[in-house]
This record gives sequence, structure tokens and C-alpha cells, in this order.
Amino acid sequence: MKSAAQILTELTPIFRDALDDKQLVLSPDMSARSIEGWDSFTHTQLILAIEEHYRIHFRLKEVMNFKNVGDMCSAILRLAP
Amino acid sequence: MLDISARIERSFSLHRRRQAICIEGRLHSYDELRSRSLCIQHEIESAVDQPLIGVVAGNNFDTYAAILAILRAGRGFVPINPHHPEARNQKIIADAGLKTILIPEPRLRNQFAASSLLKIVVTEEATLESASPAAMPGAETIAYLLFTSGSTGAPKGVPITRANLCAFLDSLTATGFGFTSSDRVLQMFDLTFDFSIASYLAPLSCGASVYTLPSGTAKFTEVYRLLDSERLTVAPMVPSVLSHLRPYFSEVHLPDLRLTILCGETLLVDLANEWMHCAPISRMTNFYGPTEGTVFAMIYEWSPDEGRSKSLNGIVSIGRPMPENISIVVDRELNPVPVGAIGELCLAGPQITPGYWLDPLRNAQSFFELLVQNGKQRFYRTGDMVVADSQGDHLFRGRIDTQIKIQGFRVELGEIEFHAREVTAGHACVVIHRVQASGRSDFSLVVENYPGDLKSVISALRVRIPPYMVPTRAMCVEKLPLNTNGKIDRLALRHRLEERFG
Repeated sequence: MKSAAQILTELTPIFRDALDDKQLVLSPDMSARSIEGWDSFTHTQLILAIEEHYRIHFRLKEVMNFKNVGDMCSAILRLAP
Repeated sequence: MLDISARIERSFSLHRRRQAICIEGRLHSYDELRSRSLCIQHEIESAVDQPLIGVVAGNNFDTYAAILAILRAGRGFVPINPHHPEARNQKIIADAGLKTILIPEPRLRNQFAASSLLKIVVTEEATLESASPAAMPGAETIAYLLFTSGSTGAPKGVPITRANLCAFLDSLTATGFGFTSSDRVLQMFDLTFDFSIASYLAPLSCGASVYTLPSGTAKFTEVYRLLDSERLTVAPMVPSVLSHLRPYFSEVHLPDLRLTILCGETLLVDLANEWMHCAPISRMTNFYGPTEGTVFAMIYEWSPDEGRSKSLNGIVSIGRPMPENISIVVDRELNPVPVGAIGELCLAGPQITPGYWLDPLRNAQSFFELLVQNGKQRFYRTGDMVVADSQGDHLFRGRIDTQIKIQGFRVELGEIEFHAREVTAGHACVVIHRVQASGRSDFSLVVENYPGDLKSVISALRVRIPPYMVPTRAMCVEKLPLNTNGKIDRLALRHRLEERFG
């Protein structure tokens, strides 16, 4: 089973691509409030890219509870095979 | 016609104990709203000779209380978004001739303190509840002044009078899609965006309860959270919120939603159809209106049976004029065109602005008089190309110019290009709008023969124009391609962007 740190590493290129920031260094406490350009559109793009990468599907309630990157990692850990 | 002050006063007296507004989970009654408004109004009254007062608008109780206070004092408000670039805000403050600005969040005081000519009122410090009775100024007094994107690089001011505003409120009620005091209404709009008027001022003038969206969050998830947890009954939204929610429609169930109000962007037939399954008792309206026509001027009620036939290229009709509004479709010479012919939509009636703020040249281009069935009317040219059908419903066919709607905001490509030229020291710049398959809409910047760093150009644009206008991609070309008419070939640039970025 993967660790949260591993998931964070795997998410980094997805976030860099969606946010068009090749230098972005992700941390679990990062959120839409702290990252420039993370708006509704980017959020949707991130969710779709993450779902495609891990071949999972988030429920709406899960997406609503994503307060930061750490919450996303936790959900991926629960859902990813 | 009942002035907006009297409408606010009516809500204050009739609905004292009812919930007026819910912000970040905290409910405020109409009594509380009245109390804060009177305190702020007391501060405003010292600015005796100022018809317009600025408000640094945020998602907080005092912002809403301040707007009501300004209107109750017989003045007009100019909303300013503190997250927009400082230079742009300063330009708006200067152009509007503001001398007093209300700041509901004390931490923002320094952001606006640079000018000694500007009186800053931190509303938190307004505690004396001793304002004069509600003022009833003339109907032609300005109720609010909004600034929208302008093709010359500077935002353009659109003043809306109290007569315009009240005509809109009455027209909305007359459509049968107004608010009641038992409604719980979603407020998801930035207060510098005129559709917010329909989401807070219209409901508050009817005694309804307004629920605002927290700032700095992914909007669509928060919209659903509010709709679901607070069992909201009316949801004014831009269609892109529904697009974002679409992958989860099977999980969305809103049995209390009685009215879905869509506006600000084109509404797709399939999206409208699918949404109705999520909100089984909801009626759905597609409203249309430019800021110059006071929020909404046209209405189409979505019907699953008729809607598809009332669409063009999968886009739902914008319907027909709301009560007291007049529309015509004209050719380039401003002659009305026959039913079924494409032309520019022009609007007239009591909701039309008296004209752009201190801009006679633009007024001469945008307004004209014409004798129609109802007599001589002053029409506003919307720049939207439409076709009217034999029942009087209108179908949107695109823009006459390069104005774009993004997340509901009007954006003139020329304004972005103007600022890009400035930050690249005069290099020719072209901005291309793109709508991706996911529904995401963004801008790409193409600069001719630029030796500098394009990332720095984008960074420089961030401090000049609002976030929704900043291009997400930038590319340099040796020479901008021209088409056979000698104009910049935007289609060729679009292809080159796709080749470069995929």
C-alpha cells in the first residue's frame, strides 16, 4: 500500500500541469486559498486528472470535503487499488 | 414606483425577526441588518455633497449593511473588489470621483490609504445608530455605478439609476419569477458583478433570506453544499457551476429548490435537461441582460418539451423581453430586420442606463433613438447577434465584436491586449479565447517578436487586470499571421496554439 508521501509525490506533476506552475512544491496543507490559480475550473480539472491517473471515482460528498491537498491524498489512499 | 429606500425600509419593518442573511454559517436577522445599516448610514451622512460612495466589497455582513445604508441615505454605491489589481481599483476610484470609501475589513485599510483625498471609513468603527429616516431622492439619482471591461484598456463605468433599479425589481416580480419572504436564496456572485443585484438586493427587498458563498473556495462544491444543507429554494447561478457539478448529477437531489435562475453565460440544452432531474420541483429560467440594461432584460422559461426546439447549436433561447422592456433586432444601418433574420439585439425601456459614465463618444456609438410601435424609444446596442422566431423568442448567434463572457464576467479581448502591449513595451499582442471540452474557458496570449520572458509578462498582467482575465498560456511568434482581408488571422493563431500546447 502506498504512503501519503508517495501520493503527494505522484500528485505533484498533476498539480503542476493543472496550475501551469512547473516549480510548484506540494504540501498537505495547501488549499485553494493558498495556491494562486486554484479556482473552480482548476479544481474540476484536478479532480478529473486524479480520477484518471488512479482509475478511481470520487463521490460528490468526498469532493465537497476536500479542504486541502492532504484531504485529497487521504481519499486517494482509501479508494486507490 | 416605490424607491429602493422604501423597499428596504419595508423589509426592515415587516420582517424584523426573519433571517436576512447567512454568511459563513452565521445568521443575521433583518433587525441586525437594520441596526448595522443605520450605524453605517450615520457615518455616510457626514459626506453631505457626495452622490457616490465606494464600498470595498467582501463576503462579510458589513458589506451588505453598507450597501443598504448607502441606498437608504439616498446615495449610490460603487463596489470595489479588493482582490482586483490595485491600479485598476485606483482608476475606478478616480474615474468615479469617489471621496469616501467604506471598508468593512479593517486589514484592508492600508490598501486604500495612499490617497489623502480619500476619506476611509472602517465600518467596524461605526457604532452610533442614529441615522436620518430613509432618503427618497429623485428617480434619476444613481443607485450604483459598476465598471465592466473596456476595449480601450480602461474599465468603463455603467451608472444605474434608482428608476432603472426599481424598474428591474418590478419587472422581475411581474415575470412571476420574483422572490417571496419565505425564500432562501443563493448568493454566489462577486458584488462587482451586476447579477449579484438579483441575488441579494432583490431578495432582501422582498424579505427573503440570502445565503452567501464562502470566499476562496471551489465554487461549485460550496454552491451544492449550501443548496443541500440549507435547503435553499432559489438558486441564481452561472451555467458553468452546473457544468462542474455535472459529473455528480446522479448524487445531486434538491427537493426544496423551487427556482433555478441561470444567467451570464450560454446555457446548453443537455445541461438544462439533466439539471431538472436533480431539482424535480424546480422551474428553470434562462435570463439575459447586459449591465447597461440593469441585470436582466429578457427571459426564457426552460421547458423540456419545447426547449430543444427553442435552441440553436445546442444553446437555449434567451427568450423575450421582460415586462416593460422592449427589444428589436437590427442590421448594420440600425434598421429592424424581419423575423428569422440575424441582426444585433437592441434594448429599450425603463431599465436602460442613462449612458456610460463621462463617456459621450461611447454613448454616441452605443445608444440611438428609433420610432417603434410604442413611440420613440432610446435603444442600447448590446453587441449580441440574435435571431428572433415567430413567437418572439430570441436565439443567440454570437458577438458582433471580441467581447467574451467568462464565469459570467464580460471581458473585452482588447482590454487584455492593451495591457499586454504596455507590459511588452509596445509589441503587437493578440489574445485568443478558448473553450475546452471540459467547459473550461481561458485566454492565450500571442506576442509578436518578443525577446523577453513571457512568464514575466503574465506576472505583470496579474497586477493590472482581474484574475479571470489573465491568460493562462503565452506564446511568441515572429510575425502575426494576416488573413486575406489584411486582419490578424485569429483562426491561424488558434491552430498554432494548439500545435504548441496541445
